[in-house]
Amino acid sequence: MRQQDLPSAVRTAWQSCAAGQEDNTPIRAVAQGDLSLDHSLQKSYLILTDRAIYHAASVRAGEWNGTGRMTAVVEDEVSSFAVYPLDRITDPAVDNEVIGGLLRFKLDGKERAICRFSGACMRDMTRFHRCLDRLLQGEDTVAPEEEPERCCPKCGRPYPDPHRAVCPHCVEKGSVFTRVLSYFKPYRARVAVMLLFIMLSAVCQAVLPYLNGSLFYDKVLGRDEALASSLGLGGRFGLLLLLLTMTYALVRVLNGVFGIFHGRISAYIVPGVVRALRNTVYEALQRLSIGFYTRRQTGGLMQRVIRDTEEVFTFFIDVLPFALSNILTFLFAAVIMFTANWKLAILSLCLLPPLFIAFYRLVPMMWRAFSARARARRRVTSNLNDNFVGARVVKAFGQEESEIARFDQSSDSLRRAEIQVAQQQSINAISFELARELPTVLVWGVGAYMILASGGSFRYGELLTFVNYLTMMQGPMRFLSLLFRRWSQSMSAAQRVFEIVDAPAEITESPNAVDRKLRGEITVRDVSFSYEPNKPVLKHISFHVTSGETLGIVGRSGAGKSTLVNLISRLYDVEEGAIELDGADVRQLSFASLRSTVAMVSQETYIFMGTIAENIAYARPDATHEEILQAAAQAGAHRFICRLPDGYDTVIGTGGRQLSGGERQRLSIARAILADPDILVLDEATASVDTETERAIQTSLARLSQGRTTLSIAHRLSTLRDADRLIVLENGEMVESGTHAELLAKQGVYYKLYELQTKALATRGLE
Amino acid sequence: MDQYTTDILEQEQKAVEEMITIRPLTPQNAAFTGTEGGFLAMRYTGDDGVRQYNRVNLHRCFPFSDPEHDIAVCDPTDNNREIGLIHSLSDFSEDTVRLLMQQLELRYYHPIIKRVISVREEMGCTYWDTETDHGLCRFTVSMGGTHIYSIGGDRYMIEDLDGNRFEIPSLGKLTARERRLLDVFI
Repeated sequence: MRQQDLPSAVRTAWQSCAAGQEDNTPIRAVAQGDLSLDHSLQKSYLILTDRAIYHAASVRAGEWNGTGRMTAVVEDEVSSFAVYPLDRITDPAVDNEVIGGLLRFKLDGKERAICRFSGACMRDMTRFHRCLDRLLQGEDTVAPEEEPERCCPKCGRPYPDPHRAVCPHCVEKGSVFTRVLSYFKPYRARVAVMLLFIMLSAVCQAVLPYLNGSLFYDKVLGRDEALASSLGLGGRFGLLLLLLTMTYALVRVLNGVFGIFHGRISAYIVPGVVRALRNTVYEALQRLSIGFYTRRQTGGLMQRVIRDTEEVFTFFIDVLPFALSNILTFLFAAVIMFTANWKLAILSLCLLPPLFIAFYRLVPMMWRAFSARARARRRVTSNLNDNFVGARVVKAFGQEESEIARFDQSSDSLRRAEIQVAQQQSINAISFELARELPTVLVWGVGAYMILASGGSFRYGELLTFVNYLTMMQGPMRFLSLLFRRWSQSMSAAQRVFEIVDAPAEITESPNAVDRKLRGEITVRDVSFSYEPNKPVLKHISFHVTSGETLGIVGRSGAGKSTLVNLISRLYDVEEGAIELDGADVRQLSFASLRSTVAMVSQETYIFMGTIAENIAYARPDATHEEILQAAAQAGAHRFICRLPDGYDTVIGTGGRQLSGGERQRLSIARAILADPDILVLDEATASVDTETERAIQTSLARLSQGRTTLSIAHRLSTLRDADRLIVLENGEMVESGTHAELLAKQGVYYKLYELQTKALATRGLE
Repeated sequence: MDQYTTDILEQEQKAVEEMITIRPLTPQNAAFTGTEGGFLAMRYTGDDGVRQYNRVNLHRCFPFSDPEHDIAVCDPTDNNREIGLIHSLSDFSEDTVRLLMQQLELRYYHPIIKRVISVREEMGCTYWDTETDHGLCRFTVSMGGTHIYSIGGDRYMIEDLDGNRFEIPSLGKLTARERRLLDVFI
């Protein structure tokens, strides 16, 4: 919450309260809570000045409305302010509860709960707390106000992605539509031709009922002289029949030919357009920061790249062009029906709305049954997968019987879903049939009566034509009834796709970034960082590493070691403080110089599809074979690679040949050696390999780190014996730093760890 | 082995044992009181003497399947280390149970959905309009990932964009209309 967002009523009430306290200091921070201490929905405001905290709650129970936007507080609803003078406050803290949290502090030494809030207010409260904490420590500070708007100003709903101000509810679907359309631009001419064919095909179809109805029965079989003589075939009805049959066949063939042309063109356009969009998404994904990936599931992203991109265009290719032809067919049929017999036409058109409704209602019911079945199928599959992967555990614990029972559960839910589908299908088929047949029967009946009553002016062929056109109209009816849903689905997919395309990269290159050769000097200045609000991972870390030095980073899992090195290679940006390389802030360096300076070997080695040589040369695809050999040798990988039948050309993952953990690790070290970085980051590089392999890798790493700045993270202290200096992290804080000897002399955390890992564990075995 | 190392070994051994044992808390060794500031304090009488905790946190081991049993009492000043475990709330006096329940309700607070007024999906998000035991709640749930999940049988938990959670105690007890609304998502 920003200061200017404070409702004027609350501000006025506060002003008079502050005046009563003789407090004329400015507001330092404001925050909003949305729960009372006993968890009723209640809005409250916190105002922090240099002298006190003012807290007022609305007297009216609220309504939760997304991101903390409850019903606005009006003047008479603010009860009196609770005033907590800062000189009586100590130890403020924000606690995380299962949902949301609690702001508390000590008042006159006694702990007090002050304000509860839901997850919606967490960010706000954390900032308020930080500002309060600093103020209590005597710093002159104002809560930063850069917090972006988190709700749509139009409808008040929260943005799904707080980093992106897009409200799915209010986004204009029209603009998405035109944007998708722009992908067809390169194919303009082809699209025009395709539309032409679709229309020609529609015309052919529209002509057919006339040919085999009115013309056939009334004019040919009915021996209509007028038509015959106008064609110069007076009385030769056999010839006329032949001509009609041929025309009929020709129209059919033409219809087919047009269809083929249309299909060919669309087959050419669609994959191209889909590819263009898919590549755009992929490019955007590459540009995005690592934070984007960790916030989302990989599966979801895959789906967007593959399925959504296709879904967007199925509408444009399989639906939109036909919308035009369907509307044309419909109008065409309507016109013909009205000219043939307007009374019957009106009757028929009256019967269409029920048909439309039937389609509109029945089809989604079918979809629902289908998707329920798909879900049940997925459950069975995942059950199978679960069981096969865990076969060893199932057998070891003798749980075959219970697994069979568990399988039967999901199997049974699939059975029920299948029954649902089958029942729905039969209901649908019959309802459709009825919805289509009944109007036709009615028209037949009324039409036949009209033939009888008209005394020859309305004839059988005309009626047949009429009914045929009526039947023809049902296609467009069905189509149009589903058009809107299809459109909305496609637009949703498009929106999801564009969401990625438009997502701003959190880590961006500064516009005046400098490209420079770095020597590898690292300065970390008072750095704090958190992935989520109120869950700090690093707190006020400062250290300096001179060029060529090796720094060991020690600490328990979760202490923040990996986060620290991720900040140095700028996978994330620091929240507070700064990281400098050779005196320049990493945020001011160009990506190119940063990436060529820092290389990382981490515990999770990733080997890409391709050959071993390609994997080693990943960072430098132009490396010569000689260089690759050298790098592999230095990484201790050359030997095992040579033993492979295909050597460096081995395609990883083929021929049943998988690399072991140690081998993969050595490949990733070779990759780092070839990249020849000035700063080498080793994040638990040897944690998952056996002792012997570790020693081999250690040796190659020692060689690699010669003459370069090295940051090495390890649980096993023996891994860090070559480090020039060490820092010890605990709960995100740097608790110790110094050389191995200094830290031992200090007899602190490091000493304890060291003693435990070396002597204690060694002697325990001998006891 | 020098004295210091022996000490460390002993400390380590103690820490390990502490880590792998569960210390039962009973009315005999634990006394709970509410504090003025709205927290819970505990006085623990162990073999090694009496210890006073001015603020303790309660964590349910089985928040969904067995909320009134196995409640861990943790020390927030020591990284929420577990002090001990209450096996059954009902062992304690009525007043204490009331006090503990009150604290548990604060920690495990989440609105219970009584009526689903509408659910609309729009581009990867669902907008919920519901009536809960705490009043009307409107919230937004992302459809990516599993933000709607079963917590046993037809009891469901829904997590919104802000990490707030809402419970549907029983799908079966919703009306047919409500179930149809939720059909697509659950």
